Amino acid sequence: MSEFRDIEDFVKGRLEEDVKGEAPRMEEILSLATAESFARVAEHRSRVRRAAAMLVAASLAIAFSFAVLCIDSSPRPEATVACVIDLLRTADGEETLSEPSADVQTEEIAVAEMLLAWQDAPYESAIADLRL
Amino acid sequence: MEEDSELLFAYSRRGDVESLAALVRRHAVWMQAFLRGLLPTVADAEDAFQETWARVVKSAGKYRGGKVKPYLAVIARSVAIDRLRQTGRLVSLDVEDGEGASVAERIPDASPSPVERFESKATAEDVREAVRVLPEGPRQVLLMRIEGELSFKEIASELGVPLGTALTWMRTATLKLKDMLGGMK
Repeated sequence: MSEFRDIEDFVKGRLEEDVKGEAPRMEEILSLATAESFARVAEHRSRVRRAAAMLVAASLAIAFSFAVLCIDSSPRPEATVACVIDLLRTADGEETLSEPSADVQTEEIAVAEMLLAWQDAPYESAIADLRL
Repeated sequence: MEEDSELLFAYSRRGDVESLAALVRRHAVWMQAFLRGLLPTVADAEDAFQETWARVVKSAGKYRGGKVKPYLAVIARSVAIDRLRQTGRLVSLDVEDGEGASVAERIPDASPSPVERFESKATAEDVREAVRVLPEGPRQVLLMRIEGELSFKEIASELGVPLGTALTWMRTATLKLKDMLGGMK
C-alpha cells in the first residue's frame, strides 16, 4: 500500500512541478468575474424592482376589492324597507298583519275564561281540572 | 486563512472579485496539472483552465457548500471532456479488446510488497508522457484522485461506472506508472 502511495505522491509532485512557476492568466478570469458579478447584481435589482411593483399592484387590488365590498355591503334605506315588506308578506308575516280569524278569537276567549276560572278556584280543583 | 468555501461564497453572494482571485491562485497549480494530464497539449490545458474558471464564475450562484477542490475538479474534467469531444479525441471509457475483456480486467494482479519503496528519477516530462499513454479510464481516475482529491465513490459516480471499476482503474494506472517510471533510477 505504501508503494502505491509513493507512486501517487511522486506522480502528483512531478505533474505539478513545472506548473508551479507559471502564474495563471488572471486578467481574463477576473474581468469575466467582475462583469458577471455586475450582471448578477443588476439582475437581482431588477428582480427586486419587479417584485416591488407586483407587491404594490397586489396591495392596490386588495384595497380596491375591500372598498367595493364595503360599499356593496353597506345598508341602503330603500333596500331595507323593501326587504322588511317582503318579509312581512311571507305566510308568517301575513298572519301578523292580517286581522285574527273568528276561530282564533273563540279559542283565545276560551283560554282567557279558563285562566279567570283558575284564579277563583282552589288550587286542588284547578289541578284536577288540568288532569282531566 | 479563509476556507475555500468562504471565498467562493464571498464571490457568489457579495460579488467579491478579490475572493475569487484568491481562490484561482490557490487552485491554479493542481488544476493546470490536472488539465495537462487530461488534454493532449499545454495550450489545450491553458484554454481549458480559463474555461473552467469561466464556468465556475457563471455557476457560482449554484454552489451550495461542500469541498471546493472536488467541485472544481468535476467542472475542470467536464470542460476537458467537452474539448476532447469537440476535437474527436475522446475515447470511450470502457474500451474492450477483441477477446471481450475490458482493458482494466487484463491487468495482472501484481500488488507490491508493503515494504517496497517506490523510487524513480523520471522527470516531469517523463511522468506527463507516462500519464498521457495510460488508457482513458485509468488516467481520469488517477487524475481525479491525486489532483482533484475526489473519493472513489465520487469518481465512480462522475464517470458513470461501478465503484469496483473505478478502483480497478486506479490500480491499473498505478501499476502501469510503476512499470514505466520505476525503471528510471
